[in-house]
Amino acid sequence: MGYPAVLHDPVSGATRRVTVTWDSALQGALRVDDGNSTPHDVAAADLSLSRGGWSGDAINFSWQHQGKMWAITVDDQQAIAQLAKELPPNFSGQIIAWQKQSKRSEHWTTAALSFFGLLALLPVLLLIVLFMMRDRILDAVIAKLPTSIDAQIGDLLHAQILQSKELVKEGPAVEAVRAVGQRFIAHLPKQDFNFRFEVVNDKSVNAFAAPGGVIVVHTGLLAKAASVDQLAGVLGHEVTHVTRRHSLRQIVYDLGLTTTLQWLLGVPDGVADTIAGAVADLSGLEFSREQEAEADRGGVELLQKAQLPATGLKSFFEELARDKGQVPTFLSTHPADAQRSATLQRLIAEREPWEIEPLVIDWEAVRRDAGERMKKQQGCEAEKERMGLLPFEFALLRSGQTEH
Amino acid sequence: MAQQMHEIDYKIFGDDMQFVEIELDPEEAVVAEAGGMMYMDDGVAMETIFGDGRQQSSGFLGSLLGAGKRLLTGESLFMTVFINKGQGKRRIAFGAPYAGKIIAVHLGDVGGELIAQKDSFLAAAKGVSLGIAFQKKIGVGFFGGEGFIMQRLQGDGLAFIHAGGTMMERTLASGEMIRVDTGCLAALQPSVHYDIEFVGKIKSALFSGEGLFFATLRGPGKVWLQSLPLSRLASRIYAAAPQTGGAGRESGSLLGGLAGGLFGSDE
Repeated sequence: MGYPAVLHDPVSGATRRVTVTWDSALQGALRVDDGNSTPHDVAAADLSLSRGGWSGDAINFSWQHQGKMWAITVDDQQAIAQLAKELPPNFSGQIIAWQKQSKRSEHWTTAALSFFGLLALLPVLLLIVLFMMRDRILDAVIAKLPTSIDAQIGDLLHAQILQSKELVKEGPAVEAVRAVGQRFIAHLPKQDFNFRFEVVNDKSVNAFAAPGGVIVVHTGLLAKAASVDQLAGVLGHEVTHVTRRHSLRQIVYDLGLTTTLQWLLGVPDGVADTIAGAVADLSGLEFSREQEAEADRGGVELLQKAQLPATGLKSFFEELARDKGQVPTFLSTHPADAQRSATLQRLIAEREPWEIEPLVIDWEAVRRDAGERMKKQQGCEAEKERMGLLPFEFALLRSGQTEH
Repeated sequence: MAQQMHEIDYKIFGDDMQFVEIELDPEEAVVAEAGGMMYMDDGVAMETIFGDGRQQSSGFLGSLLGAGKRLLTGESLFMTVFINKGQGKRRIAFGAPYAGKIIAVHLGDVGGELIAQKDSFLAAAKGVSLGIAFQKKIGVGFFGGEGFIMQRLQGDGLAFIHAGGTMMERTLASGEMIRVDTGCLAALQPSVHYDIEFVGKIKSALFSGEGLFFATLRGPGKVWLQSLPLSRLASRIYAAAPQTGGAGRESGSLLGGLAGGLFGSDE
């Protein structure tokens, strides 16, 4: 049986593939067979063995023949292992020592490369760990931040809403919203937030909470809600967003995520940009599913404390879910419909029954008020279109009219 | 081991910025690094393959593996095969990417295998396979100048490799050893023992400019050395670039340089 090797021919300068065998007869000889001419035997006494191979794991046999140095190299590991068994002890001892050395070196290389590989992966690993611990980190950060931050952001947004939206300043609609809001505030444990309940004339069925206690209800939602209990349900949900500081949590999360990404992945852009971007996005902040579920839970608790029926929250939500055609924006990130409904049912069942002190509000008047305002706004828009005015021109015209 | 190798005729043109022109008989083919082609005759068809040139029959997984290995050696995922689909002989040429020499190595004459520095492969007869050769010695990997991964060319056909400056081919007898600057190794036969050696003295390590280690090459086998590694050329060019505080423009004389230094350039 022969082992693959290459023969370095000093006469032609070429290297040829050959097979070698060890003949243990007499003192032993290495038989080199190139497949063409008769095999050439080199006596063991003439052979010298050396370590070789570009990676240090091959062996070379060399010998003098007619004044020239001939050599063969065996680099097949199995062949070397076999040869080590057949060769005389002075050779095999050396081969085994080299093999050990090679193996040790290989282990070190593997260890070092794994180490550096891990080092390169470290940012990613760290990111994964941070991401998995994000809830605990966020809790700790939020606990450290004073509520004055919520208030500042809230004031900013409040001012922005006052400027950019058509605010309802009086009438049954806004009075109803404030009355329900007041009921909740009276039952909140401590007054960290300056709650402001506003109604915006907008036909979309929506309500949202900004940090610091700014809660905005659209007239569209008021017109859609069948009873004051449904409004109470929505407001309880939004108030919980405020008291649990969900907006701030989202902001901190967004900021933290971007900065961590930049820091770990080495994106050189300044943090300032991130902050600017996050603040710009404030109004468009969306809550996570977990936060929505938490707001549902907190909403039910609040309704119980305020002695209001919880059926409104559930029925209103179910009604909205039924009109799949126009899923309100404030529901878009909310937990999956069926699941949410079931969870709500369970939450309510856990607490019911509780004492109810009904709200005395003429709900039909509220709906009428909201409906008329929306109609008027629509009329204005139609008028605007008819007159072909730019929005700000129209605003000027209208403000002039109201002054008269 | 009867691999189908394509016999090709070639001619290398140029002095320091070379290109190799290969003559293909009908249905003969060469594989080349994507982007290395200079010109080709009408009738030569080009086909892009994923992985290296050999595994036409080894299926998708095999070619994926080949391609992944190629990424490690810093090559592109794809290679290009040029086949003479015309009648009679057709020619195709590949240009070297930077100043240096192209050498043609008949893999059959070097025992069927050659280890070359990354990126040095230019083109080869179809049937030559390209793979990675992984350095198992930690010291050589870190300080040998070639890193842990080199390129392995296997087969019996002709392969063209390129390296910087002037190439020197040297056949080392068994036990014969040379010390080489770590960047200057271009290619070697796998039988050559490649190791590193500390320059000897701390003073030399710090001030000789040769780095901390020499590469040592011990026979038997052939080695190819390059006189100007691309990195050396690049660092000189970088140092001379105006942005990095270099001269910025040609100063014909000492006075020119002085005037430039005193009065600044007009740019």
